[in-house]
Amino acid sequence: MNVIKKSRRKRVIPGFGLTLGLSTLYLSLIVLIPLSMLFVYSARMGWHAFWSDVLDPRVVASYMLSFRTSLLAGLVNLIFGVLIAWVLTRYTFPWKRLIDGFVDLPFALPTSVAGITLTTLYSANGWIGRLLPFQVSFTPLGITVALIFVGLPFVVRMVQPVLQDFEHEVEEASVSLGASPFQTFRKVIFPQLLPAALSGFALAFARSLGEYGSVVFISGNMPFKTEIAPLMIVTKLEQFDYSAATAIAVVMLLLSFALLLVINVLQWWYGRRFANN
Amino acid sequence: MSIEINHVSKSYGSFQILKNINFTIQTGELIALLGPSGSGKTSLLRIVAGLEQADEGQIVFNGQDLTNARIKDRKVGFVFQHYALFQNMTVFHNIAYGLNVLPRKYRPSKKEIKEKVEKLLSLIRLEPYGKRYPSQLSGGQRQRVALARALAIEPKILLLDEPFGALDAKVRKELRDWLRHLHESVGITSIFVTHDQEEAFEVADRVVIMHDGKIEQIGTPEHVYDHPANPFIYDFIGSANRFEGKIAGGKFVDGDFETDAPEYPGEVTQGLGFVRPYHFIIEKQKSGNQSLKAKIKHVQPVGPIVRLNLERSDTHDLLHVEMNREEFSRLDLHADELVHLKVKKVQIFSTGQ
Amino acid sequence: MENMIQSDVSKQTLSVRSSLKSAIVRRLFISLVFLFLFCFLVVPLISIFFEALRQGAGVYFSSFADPNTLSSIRLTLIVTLAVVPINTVFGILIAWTVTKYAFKGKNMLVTLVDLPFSVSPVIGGLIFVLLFGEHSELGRWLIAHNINIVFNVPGIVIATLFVTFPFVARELISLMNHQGTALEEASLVLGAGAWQTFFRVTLPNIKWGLLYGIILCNARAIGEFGAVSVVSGHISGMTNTMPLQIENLYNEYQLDPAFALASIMSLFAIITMILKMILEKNVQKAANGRP
Repeated sequence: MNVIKKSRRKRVIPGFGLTLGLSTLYLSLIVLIPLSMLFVYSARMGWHAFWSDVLDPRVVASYMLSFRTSLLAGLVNLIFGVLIAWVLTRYTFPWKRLIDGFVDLPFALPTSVAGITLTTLYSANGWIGRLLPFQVSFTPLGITVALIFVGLPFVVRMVQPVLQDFEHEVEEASVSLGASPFQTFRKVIFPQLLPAALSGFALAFARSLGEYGSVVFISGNMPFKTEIAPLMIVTKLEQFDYSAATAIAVVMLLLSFALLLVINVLQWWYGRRFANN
Repeated sequence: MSIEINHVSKSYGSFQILKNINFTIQTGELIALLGPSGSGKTSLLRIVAGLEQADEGQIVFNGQDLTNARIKDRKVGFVFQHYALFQNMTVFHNIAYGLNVLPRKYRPSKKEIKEKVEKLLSLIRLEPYGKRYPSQLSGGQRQRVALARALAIEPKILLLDEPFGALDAKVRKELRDWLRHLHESVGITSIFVTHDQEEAFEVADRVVIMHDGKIEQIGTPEHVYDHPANPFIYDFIGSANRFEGKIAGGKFVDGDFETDAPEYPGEVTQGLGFVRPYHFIIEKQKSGNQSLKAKIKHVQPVGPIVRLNLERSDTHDLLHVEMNREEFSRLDLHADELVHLKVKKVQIFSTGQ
Repeated sequence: MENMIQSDVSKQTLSVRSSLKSAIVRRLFISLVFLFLFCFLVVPLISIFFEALRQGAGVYFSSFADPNTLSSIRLTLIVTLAVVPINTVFGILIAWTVTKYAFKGKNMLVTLVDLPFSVSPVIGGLIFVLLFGEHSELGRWLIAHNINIVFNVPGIVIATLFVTFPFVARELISLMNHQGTALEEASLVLGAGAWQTFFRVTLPNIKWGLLYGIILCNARAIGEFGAVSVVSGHISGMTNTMPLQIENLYNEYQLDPAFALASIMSLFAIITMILKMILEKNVQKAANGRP
């Protein structure tokens, strides 16, 4: 009988224990423990206090406003994002590379700078506000404008690589089989684009829900009218109402988790479709 | 250096990729691990190198158990499938890498390293290319650099993972001859993985054929080719016509095809028969009673031989037959002609029941 | 034969017509994109510099003489210099861990890495107020020992660490996943140790991606507003970073200095974008650089 023995389990590249240990430690200290504070703190509050904070009419109005404006901004970005990605991948025109890079401006520009700039531009005597027959700054429309700015790059940057990698032959095959350009887009390109466009939309939407810096200036912060949910957290903190701030944060956090889940499912869907092709 | 692989098993999750692999490689041998993809051959090679851990079993080099030894203590040369050359280093520094990372007290001097790398560059016939980067080389050149890099640390064994897989046919053939030549001059114990039987048979001293995580047969190329151990190998090695039938009373019968099966005198079982394409005799007139009627469907001359596709008149299955040009013109065969086939050599396997 | 020619001709007119149509569509699409980007990106960017320089160079430069503005610039520098190196080191560490080893719970770790991006920056500030403020045991203990984190520089640093953590780690995880482990294996087989492998093989291969992540992390660290706003306490000259100082000035109707400070930050954002554009190409090459 030959020796058959269980070999010691180990990894080939050295350093696993050390790097895993340090990584977990850092993530726990900087992400996990601080975030769990929200739940620890709200658990201490008790159900009754928690619900009365969460369902306060002014707070509910802020959720609704955040949701409405984020959704609208997300939809505008979905349409223009796909259009921008299409133009940047399919056509050649002067300054294309510059414009391509410029799309990232909202990522690079500090949010408070964007906030004061947009407020000034869209105020009654600002460059753009002057041209418009209706008020933008200090209205939900102004909030939407700021959120469009902030969320602009997400859909573009998700859709662009898909269009870039899209095999030209597939399109040509569709055209050679007699499909019109519109039919080709609708039946061949659009289905492949959809998961990426939707993940971009979900990312922009999630970012908009939590956005603070670029919105507080243009919103005007009138109770029940132009108060967004993140502002409510700050307001409650300034009133030293930590419980209410925490309760609102927990609701927003759960909403973000739900969105994160949606994004993951979309990306999984996208990955599967991509693998099939 | 000899290598013993003792009862090695390995699973990925619930999938068992290696099932109790057991064999020994003699010092100086050149071994081919041959098998279809997913047969476990690359996993076995990586376990020998220490790039992966076996769940069970032992790897023994020259009587020394290295199952749990660190990779750097094994002193193996490994040539990766896609070469894994360091893109940020020149060819020279790629080859010198294994020497440059030695602890200072074992590290050769700069001059010695330079001499050694130049010797290796001349061995792989790339003397003028030392200052180039891998991205400036062709596939075959990269492959040779990968080999030189592996040889620089003077390994006691050399392992190659699909060494010619990514190259085109002509370069492949050249490198194959060159590897055989190199092995003869350096004499280092080597194992290479391939799914190309021609490659395995042309280069290796012995071939290990793997399938489904198990070893199907080990032997010299001639032995494996002439005496396949089982139906899988008959199918996998070379091309063969396959007959499915019954064995009874020392005879194998499949439709109108009948042949003697003296290996199985008394049994009554299901069986498989294999006939190589060049082991047929074609006759215009039937002679004897172990003859099969078939219709010529297609005639294709390829160089000195002629390939024929025939349709069996009983089962309508296709048969592939090869014969030399002279024989073909002597018989004066044409498409759509009915002929009679006899076999010169057939291998019968019982499949049980 | 004649039929074929005829159908050929009709096909040609069809393709001429459709190419004309697609040229119109092309014009329309490009114009729409230009208009949209002009309104939403170009006009705001130009207006920042216009507002900043409206009163002339003298007023512009005198904005930076304000001690509170100067101290905000100093604080932003300190915070950035503390945050970027820490997140770079741990970003590399975590990317290495999740891409070079297989282990249970890996997805959990990656989710934790992504988490700060999906959380509102305001919440990113709030959690540290809860953790280190007077409402938790830890906070009370720290305050009793005279260690003030909230409404102080350490709080700003920690909140910025949280918000900017994913940049380096995410960029490297996707790049290193793409590159695989073959090069590290080759290095180890050739006798190199873990450190040698990292510095000689891994680092040169990820350097562009690393730089890219650092630049994004840096830009966000400089510009972070929401999280910092919650933990800083807005003490002028003490805990105001540049973005907070912009808010202060704006709320005090000091528009010229506010836009002057904003113009510096915008200039920095433009430099970031240019570097990003240059690096993107190199990162692409590094990801596909395998033969």
